[in-house]
Amino acid sequence: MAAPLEFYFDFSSPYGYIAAQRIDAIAAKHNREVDWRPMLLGAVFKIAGTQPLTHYPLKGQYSTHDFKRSAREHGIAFNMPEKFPLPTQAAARGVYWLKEVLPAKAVPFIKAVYAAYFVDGKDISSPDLLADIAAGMGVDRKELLAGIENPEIKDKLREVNDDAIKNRGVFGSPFIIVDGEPFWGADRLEMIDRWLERGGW
Amino acid sequence: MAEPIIFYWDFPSPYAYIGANLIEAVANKHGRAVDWRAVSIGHLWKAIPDRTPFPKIKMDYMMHDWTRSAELADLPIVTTPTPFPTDAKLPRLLFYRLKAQDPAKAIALAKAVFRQYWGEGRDIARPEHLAGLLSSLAIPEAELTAAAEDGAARQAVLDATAEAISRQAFGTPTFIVDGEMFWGADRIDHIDRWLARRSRS
Repeated sequence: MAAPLEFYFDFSSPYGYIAAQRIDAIAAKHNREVDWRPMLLGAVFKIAGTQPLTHYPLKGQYSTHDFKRSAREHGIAFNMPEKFPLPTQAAARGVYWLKEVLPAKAVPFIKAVYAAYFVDGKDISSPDLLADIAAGMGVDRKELLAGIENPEIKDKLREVNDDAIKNRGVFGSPFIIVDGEPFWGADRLEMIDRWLERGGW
Repeated sequence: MAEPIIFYWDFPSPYAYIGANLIEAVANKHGRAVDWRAVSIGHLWKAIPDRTPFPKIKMDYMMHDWTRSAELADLPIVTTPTPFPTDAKLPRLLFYRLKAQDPAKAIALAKAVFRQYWGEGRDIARPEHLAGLLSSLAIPEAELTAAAEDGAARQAVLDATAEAISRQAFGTPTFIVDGEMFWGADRIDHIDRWLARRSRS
């Protein structure tokens, strides 16, 4: 089987959420897997001197309008959270811990965390809330909470982040790498579909 | 006939080049005309207090993406014309001078100027380069000289730019479809679906 699609995203990214609902179908159509890689946009903002999209005048308002319109177009439930953006280290570490110990639960956890934030407006920066979500999937709360604080898991997230920014050219979310070819944005999913269909151009 | 699609654009924008070559087919499909309104992107940006910065990591990706996007649309592309950006004042004036006489000819000229800059990489600030485009479009060379001094054309650029600013546009291409704003060449697919769904409901 060909290489997986490397799907970089931040849990606080609305377009990341939208792409997360659609990437599996596109990958499956082309017989590919998805490698889910949560990362921290805050680190990108620091290095690149940028800010969250919604903080820019005009462009921020348009983006919020476009998040909702894009979600509606694809029949995806979406409510702009009141607390936005949020720190997402705990959620990202939860994923890397699950990838180590219970890999089958990692993707369901990602989707449940995204839904908790962008559908139900819950505070996903809270480890307790993340533990509740994991518990709902049959994961031990205490183990997840310990996993989030595990120094090796913390290092893992730092490594993914550093590598994404320094070596892979990642500067936004979602950022999807297909056989080395970079695609930024939920609006590039159709292009990824055509890229896989044609084998690039 | 329903309202035309309003299209704000400027020559130094690579995605406006792509948009200019894609919007008409989508408009025609839905029985819409396109009203081409050149703006001064420099003045538009000046009106925005806190514009998104373009860090190198993002700029590198954008150059790769506009090249790839032009290729997908079967358009010639040089990636970086010389110089980039350039002063597009004269071709904008010529566009509006022609638009007052014959809008179809003005659009043909705009496409030829876009192609000269983005397809061939030639500087469209230079009158001799623009002069080379005129004969195939049956435009007398005197129009170019006259455009530089055309007060009505100058006012048309200022008015279109002020109008785009008042509509909260922050970049080009920007399209207004029945009051709904779409930013970016990659939103033309959305416009297509937007109009398709509207006509069904």
